Amino acid sequence: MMMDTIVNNLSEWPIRIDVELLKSVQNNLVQAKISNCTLANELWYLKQFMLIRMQYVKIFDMLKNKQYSEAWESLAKIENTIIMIKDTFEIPQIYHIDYILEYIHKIQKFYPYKFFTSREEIIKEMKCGICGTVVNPAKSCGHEAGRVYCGVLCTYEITKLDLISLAIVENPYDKYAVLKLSDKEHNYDLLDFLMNGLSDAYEEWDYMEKQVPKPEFKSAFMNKPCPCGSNKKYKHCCYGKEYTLMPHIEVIIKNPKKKLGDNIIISNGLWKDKE
Amino acid sequence: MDEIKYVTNAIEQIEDNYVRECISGITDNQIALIPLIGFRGKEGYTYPEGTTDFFNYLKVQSSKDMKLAFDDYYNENVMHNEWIRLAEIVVTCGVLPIVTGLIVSFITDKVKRGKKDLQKVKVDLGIKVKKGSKTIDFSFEGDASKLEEAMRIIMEIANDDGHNS
Repeated sequence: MMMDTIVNNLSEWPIRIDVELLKSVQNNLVQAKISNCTLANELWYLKQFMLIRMQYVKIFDMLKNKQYSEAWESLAKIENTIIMIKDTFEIPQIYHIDYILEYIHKIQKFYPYKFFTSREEIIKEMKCGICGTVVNPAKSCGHEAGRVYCGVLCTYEITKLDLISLAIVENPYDKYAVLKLSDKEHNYDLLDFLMNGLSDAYEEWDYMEKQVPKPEFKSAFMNKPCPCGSNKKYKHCCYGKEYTLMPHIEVIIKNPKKKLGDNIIISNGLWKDKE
Repeated sequence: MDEIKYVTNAIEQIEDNYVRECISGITDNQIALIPLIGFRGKEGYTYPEGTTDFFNYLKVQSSKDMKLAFDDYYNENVMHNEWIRLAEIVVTCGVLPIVTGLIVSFITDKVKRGKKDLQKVKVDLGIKVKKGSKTIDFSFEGDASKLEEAMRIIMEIANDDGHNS
């Protein structure tokens, strides 16, 4: 009976947050860990799906309230959880988890976080989170990271580590370590523009990235003086040069509930001076 | 940059004892993973991050006996970028078709689960194919989308009579 209620809740779209149901799942999970491992495993997954869906709604609220860092951390956290679960579990489509993952990646694209710190290291010792055995694939304890054993997720705990170096990278393995500058702050204008156009977490939207002429080159004529002020004809000067273009992002909201406005120009760049 | 490189080496000339013994002892019923010797100037043997997953995947999918060339202490090296790096594999020529197929499915599944684009994910891997007293050492660096084609080329080269010893 309870399983039906959980599956029904997980199948609802828009998401209906049911805190009492989540508490009930948690209580049943605790009981099942003692008496029924199969049920405990099933409840563990269902609980994760409920948490992911709840968190997705919260992220939308955070972004509306300009809590950018908190929202970013939550996005990265649920992204990691979904990818980890997909390693070992076929997630039913009706839970909309794949949809949520797709939108996490889209929202991340609108963040000005493009540089991250990353560690190079040697992991000298890892221990199995279930039994405490030192991890060695050739002498396996039988538990695998990312799998659920009697309602408990197996993770590997790093117990000895040699840090080799820290670097600034664009595509990190984990996205938590966002690079921040002491005298600058991130420019969230693009993200704000997107969030202003969305009424709720369920609106379908997409984006297209393009390169378009900068405003000063938009109406340049081949045989007229170049807008750069060189006194040469445009066709003999800046025409066709990469620096005459700027990045442009087009947001497409499928059935917009409010008007976004046309040709809105947003301040360029990842950073702003601190006020 | 999608590059396959290969070179033929005599097993007896491999300097490291563990690696040499592992390769010379490999049979048609085994797959071995060999470590990187020395990482960023640090002594010792390390395997790329996530080798445990790859090891378990090969073990389950191939039904072969899996071994590590050095298994006293298992250390992993973690690098900065998002490349998928696999531990270098040692197989006989007979097992190569199974292993190449499994490499492709392991990487493809991994990329698709993360909802990433195969053309944007980079892969770095090495395979040592034992042929008699020699090995053909292959390396591939490039897009995950080119991996299947790369594995086909590797099999063709490995099967080429000119490399038989």
